[in-house]
Amino acid sequence: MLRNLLLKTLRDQRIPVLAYGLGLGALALLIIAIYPSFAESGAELEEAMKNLPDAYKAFTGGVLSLTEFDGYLVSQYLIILPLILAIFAIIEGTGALRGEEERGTMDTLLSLPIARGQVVLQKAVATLLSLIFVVIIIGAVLMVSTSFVDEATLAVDRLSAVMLNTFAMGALFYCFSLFLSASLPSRRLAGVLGAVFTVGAYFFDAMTDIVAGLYDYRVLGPFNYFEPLTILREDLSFQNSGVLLLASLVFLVAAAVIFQRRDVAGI
Amino acid sequence: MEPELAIESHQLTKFYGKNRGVEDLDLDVRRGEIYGFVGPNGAGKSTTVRLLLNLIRPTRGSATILGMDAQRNAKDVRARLGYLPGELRMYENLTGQQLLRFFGNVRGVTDTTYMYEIAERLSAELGRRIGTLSRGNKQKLGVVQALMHRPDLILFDEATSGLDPLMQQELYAILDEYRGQGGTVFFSSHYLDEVERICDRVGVIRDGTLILSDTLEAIQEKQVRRLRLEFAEPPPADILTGLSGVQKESQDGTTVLALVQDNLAGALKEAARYTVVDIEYEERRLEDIFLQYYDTREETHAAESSA
Repeated sequence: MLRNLLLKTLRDQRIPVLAYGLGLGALALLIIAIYPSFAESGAELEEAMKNLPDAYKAFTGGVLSLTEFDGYLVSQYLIILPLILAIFAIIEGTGALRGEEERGTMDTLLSLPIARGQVVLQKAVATLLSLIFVVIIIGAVLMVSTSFVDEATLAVDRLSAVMLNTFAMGALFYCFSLFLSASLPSRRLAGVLGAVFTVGAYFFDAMTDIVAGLYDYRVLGPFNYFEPLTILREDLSFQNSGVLLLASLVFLVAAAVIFQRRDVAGI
Repeated sequence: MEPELAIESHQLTKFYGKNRGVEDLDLDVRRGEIYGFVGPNGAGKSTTVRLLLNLIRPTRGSATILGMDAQRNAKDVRARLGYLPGELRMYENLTGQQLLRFFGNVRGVTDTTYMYEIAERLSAELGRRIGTLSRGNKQKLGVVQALMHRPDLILFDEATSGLDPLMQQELYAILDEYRGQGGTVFFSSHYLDEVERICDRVGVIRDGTLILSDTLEAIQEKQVRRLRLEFAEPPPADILTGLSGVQKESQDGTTVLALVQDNLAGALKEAARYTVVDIEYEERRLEDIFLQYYDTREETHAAESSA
């Protein structure tokens, strides 16, 4: 696992990756296990949902029915996955460059025959692979656990598309954090801005459903391209994931260019 | 053909905003020598090393390392050099063994015999996690990683800090051997006794400017040293007067004191016309010279400021 920087980064992330994968998998298991009791509540829940304020519904993914499994899964679990993955993405993204400089290890790393662009690329590929491992674990747990619950069914292709969409969100948050890590003078500042961006994006997307004037600007927010309910119910499209991955690539390239050109901070 | 100079810089300058890191640095480090780069804290030593490593970019000027441009060919340059900073920070979750394996893999080291030889000579603890090692033991690992691939050039920035005296001696011996095999060392330090002990040439940096660069012998020769002559009989009052490179300080009976810059032979020749019973010629160590340079410059600064 120490043959190159990519494998070393994967090695460093193995414990958080397992913790995230198993933790989120266990949460998925719990959510699915209690779904039958939700389904039984049926009409009462539907009625209660209708009376909830629009703002609340907007913040829980715009789901109108909890008695149908896909709506239940999205509102109780899938809608928050990008936010939870964003924590991992921001920690790794800001730590990759500025964090390593602040720890003082970047000097020694860059005394090795490895180009700065390679440092950015290998760390990014490793972390994106880690994110893929996490969503694969989650997807596998969801697939296996729904097979034991009669009322819950998920098509493999649609679940895979949702997981891709979730990964694309994680990738975007990671690459944006990496960009901040390359651009800003401290890891703390990069972390704060990364968190503000993530939470702000979530709120912005919810607000576009409530505030009429914001609706036309919804395409600017990343959560506009995270549509798990649409994928599960209607449109098996990869276009949204493509947009997110393209935006991730832009931030990744920007991070590499900025890191290539600037001074490495000493301790 | 390999270039004669391992490091060559022209007007290498780095400003941090309005603050000067180094300015107009013209370095020439020859292949196969240990070049001492001395100066107090904040003089610009680490800035210079980081410029050579391309960790920071010059405001102006350029540096060539082993015949390659330090910026354009940074990766190729780094493949042929080793680096050890004074405050070495490494991946604390790895053991020494794992760190060296990782660095060796990135450097393409296939034969680890030399690496283990150096580690053994320095009694480096390879089996423990780096986070649990003392500063000195971390520094030993740093020395091993800097040398493991038998580089053509080593940049040491306060490298011996944290090493105990025995390990320092072992490191000096390793560097002696390394030089004997044609290796070049750029040895940044503020420990003048170690620079004097192992370096062939010395550069003195102050406030970001290289104020002196020469062999230790040449530097010492250029220095004013005090000569005390004791005669059997009081010599004539005009002894040692009018000699170039010699300034007579005083004469008290049979004792004559003079300051000699570069004409010791002339002074001795004139003294030998009389019966000399004792001679004392002050030995100037690098520390004295260094302090003299700094004191002089301080005075100049003070004079400039008051003017």
